[in-house]
Amino acid sequence: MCEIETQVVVIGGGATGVGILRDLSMRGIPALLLEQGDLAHGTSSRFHGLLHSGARYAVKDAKAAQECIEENKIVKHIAAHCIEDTFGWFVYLKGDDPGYLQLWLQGCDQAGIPVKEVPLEEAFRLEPLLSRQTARVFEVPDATVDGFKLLWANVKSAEKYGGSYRTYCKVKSLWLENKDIKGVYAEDLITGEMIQVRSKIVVNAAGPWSAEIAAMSGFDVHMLKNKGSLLVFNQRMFNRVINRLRTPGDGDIFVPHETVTILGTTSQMVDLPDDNQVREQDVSYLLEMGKDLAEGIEQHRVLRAFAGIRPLYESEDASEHEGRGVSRNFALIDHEKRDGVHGLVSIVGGKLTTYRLMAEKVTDWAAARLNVTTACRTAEEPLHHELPADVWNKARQLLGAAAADKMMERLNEEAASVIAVIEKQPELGQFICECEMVTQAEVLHALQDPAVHSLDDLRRKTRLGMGTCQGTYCTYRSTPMLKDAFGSWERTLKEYRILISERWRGITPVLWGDQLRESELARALYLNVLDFKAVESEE
Amino acid sequence: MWDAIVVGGGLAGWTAGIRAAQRGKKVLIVTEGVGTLYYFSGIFDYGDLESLRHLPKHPYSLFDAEAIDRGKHFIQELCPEYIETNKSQHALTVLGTARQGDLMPRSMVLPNHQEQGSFVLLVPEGLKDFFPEIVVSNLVREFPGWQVNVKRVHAENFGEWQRMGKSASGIDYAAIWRSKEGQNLLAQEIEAIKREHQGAGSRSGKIAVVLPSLVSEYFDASRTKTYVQDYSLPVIEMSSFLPSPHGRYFAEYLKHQFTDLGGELMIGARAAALNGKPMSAKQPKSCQEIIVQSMGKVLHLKAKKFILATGGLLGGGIKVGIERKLIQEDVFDLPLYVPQEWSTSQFFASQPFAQIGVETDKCLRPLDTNQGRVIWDNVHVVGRMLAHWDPWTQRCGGGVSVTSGCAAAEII
Repeated sequence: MCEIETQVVVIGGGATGVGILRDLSMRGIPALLLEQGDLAHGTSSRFHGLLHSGARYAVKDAKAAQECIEENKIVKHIAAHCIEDTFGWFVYLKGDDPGYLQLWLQGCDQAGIPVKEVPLEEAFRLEPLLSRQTARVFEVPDATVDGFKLLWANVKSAEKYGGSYRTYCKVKSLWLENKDIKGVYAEDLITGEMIQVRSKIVVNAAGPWSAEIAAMSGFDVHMLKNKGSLLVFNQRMFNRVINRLRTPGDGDIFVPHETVTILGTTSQMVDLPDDNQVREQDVSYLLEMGKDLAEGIEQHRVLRAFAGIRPLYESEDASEHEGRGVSRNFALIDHEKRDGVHGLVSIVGGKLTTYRLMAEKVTDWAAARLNVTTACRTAEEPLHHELPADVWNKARQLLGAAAADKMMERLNEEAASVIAVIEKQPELGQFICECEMVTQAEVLHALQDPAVHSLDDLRRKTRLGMGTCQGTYCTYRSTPMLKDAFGSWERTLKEYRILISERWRGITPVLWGDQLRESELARALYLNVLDFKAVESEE
Repeated sequence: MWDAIVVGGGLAGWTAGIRAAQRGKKVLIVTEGVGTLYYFSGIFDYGDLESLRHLPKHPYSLFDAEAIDRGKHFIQELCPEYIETNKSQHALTVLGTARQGDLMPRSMVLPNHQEQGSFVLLVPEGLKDFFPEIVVSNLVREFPGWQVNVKRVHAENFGEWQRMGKSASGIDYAAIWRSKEGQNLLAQEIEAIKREHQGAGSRSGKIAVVLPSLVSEYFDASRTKTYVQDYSLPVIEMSSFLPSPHGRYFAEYLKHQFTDLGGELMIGARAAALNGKPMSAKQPKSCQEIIVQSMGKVLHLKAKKFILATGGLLGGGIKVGIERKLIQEDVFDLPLYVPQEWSTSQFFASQPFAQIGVETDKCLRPLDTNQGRVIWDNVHVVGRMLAHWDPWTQRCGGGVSVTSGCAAAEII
């Protein structure tokens, strides 16, 4: 058994967990984050990628709205490279409830969310696909956020301040002695080794898995697991976030990301924290709702469907217990107060927009117990660094502006070394992934990261396989690098199969039109041209 | 008035058009684009004929053994380099793994695994989507008794391009290998390999040069020179990656074959509808003309027979609308067999949606899916438009397309 000693163990490598790790590290508190899969494999990458302005909660949840607008400003400042400041529109359709409109305007005003009405003619000019049933349009400071980039940026920053993390490391039990937390026992899922981590504090930030973690020692964190399904269109249909101005419901938000648009979101209670298969009826439902906001939605190609689990906290006094009725506000559960256990805290609920605030609250709590008085600086210190102009120029000269900018955003400070490699060996500037413009040099760089254990990890780090071809060509193109990294031909084929199967899971609910054609092409390539052996269907 | 109009310029459409023209018929091929031949590995797969022919509705069940043989002979007459032996023959994929194949060019056929010898993999510099190290390691595994060496070949045509770090595709290289300079370059390289091999004093064991994609001229559309193997060592071609040089030159070759026989061709034209009337209440209908949109014009084209070869899902002949609410055959609006289950959870398994297509009688005439009656008397459906098969898991894409294309032409 491997033994590790630290001050704080953070369970969960989602946005909240890495935010906590960064905050602890910046305050000089030694901390170790344990994640059962890869970073960002759960809810933090399985959402619409909206950085809320708070306007969506303006009527129902004034507290959430206020937190959102404050954090919106902060995150735009500290993580500009993860944000596209698109602004968002709230669209009021003919026949929508005028009473709600008034409440919404008041709510935004009270929360301090700036609202500006956009004249209809201008709105149709700026967003040609906007439904012609639109009656009024209001602009708010919504933005889009790349959950992967945000997570990686937090981790990199945390590491710089001495924090560390281990992926594929599953917590098996909490280590308690006489109602004192002593640490955790975990298993390294790659090597099978058991790990004993001694710590003064354990933070349960496991999102949809939080209840399971708390239950390991018999504590009850009553959480609702709410599945949200989303669709990805292969075009940028809108340039702004488009919300429906009504009580937040299903299928009423379009969020543009780079070259795609995400339509979300459904809401369905589920039992398992990883029940993220999208059903065909979810797709139909989303398309039906999306039709209200977008003209000619059926003309557009749907690339894939995906789903994430919202970890909604059900507080004891919540009057409603279903789906959207529960507050999206987060809660910090001090298990000392609740269960008489020293040193254990659960952070539950919340949303990505408020990840930093949640981290700050947890870190304040931990710092108080450890008698650390250093103040929180995460609201001021940026996550990214401005790169020198010559690095930018070199990158653009070698790769072209579009590809260079994408790479710089993904890699930030690490970009300089990748650019140097491409300068020395220009052929490494060739694209492995033409959709997301990922170069060979960038893939080689990512593969050096000890936290990349599989092709699927590589996908999350580089966006390889996330574009229009959904892994058909880029998987093939990464063959020699995979073989070098993973060692054998059998393993390389296995990684191919895992990635393509994972992509297939998201394609099958939307298997029609051009996406179906693309899938036939992928089958022709793998089963014929590359002679992969067909498998017997299990069904 | 044509004897036949073929809609679609893929393998099945070209086969039907050329075969009918060979039989002295007046034929027009109307095609929107280049078809899916650009995904052609260079090998015609026939699959396990015996078991596939006994699947109740498989397209092979529509044909007798002679019809299948006629298709094979058609290809072999067209391209004498394509051979088939009694034993199973193998060719290399672009990854260097051995794949079984039925009709393939002589220059693709791999030597016997039991033999001994040495391969020299000739690697064109900067060839896109080609991984020499992977090919070498797979070759070593597939052929334990063989030595494998690598030699790089530099084509100055791409020099400046490659110094900038750019790659050249297999199609670019195939064009070089077909030029005089390219052939000389290859001949020199191969001669050098031969000398080196002799110089190294190695035993007189077999030696073969392996080259990615198309290097030989068996699809010589100009037909100015007869194909000869004039390299000093045997050359083994690997099958093609996408976009496929074999597909490109084969399509060009078919086009010339067809037009040389007097066939007429309309490219960039989209068949959109048809006019026809029932012969009598209970008889199948007869199609008089199809309506074709070409360069902004609408043309009414008349023929005695029509052959539908629009390539199914991948070729674009079957359109599947959003949420699969509308699934259509585009030209004649033929009824389609649509499977109940649509897909399976495993990508690499046989997919039900692949079975979508038109059900026909033995004369390839479309059937009403409910009552099994022939709908059009003079429309014949070929290739990927036929229902109840999966070219990728059953490995019979070339076989069904060639056989049905030929069979349709025989009826014209």
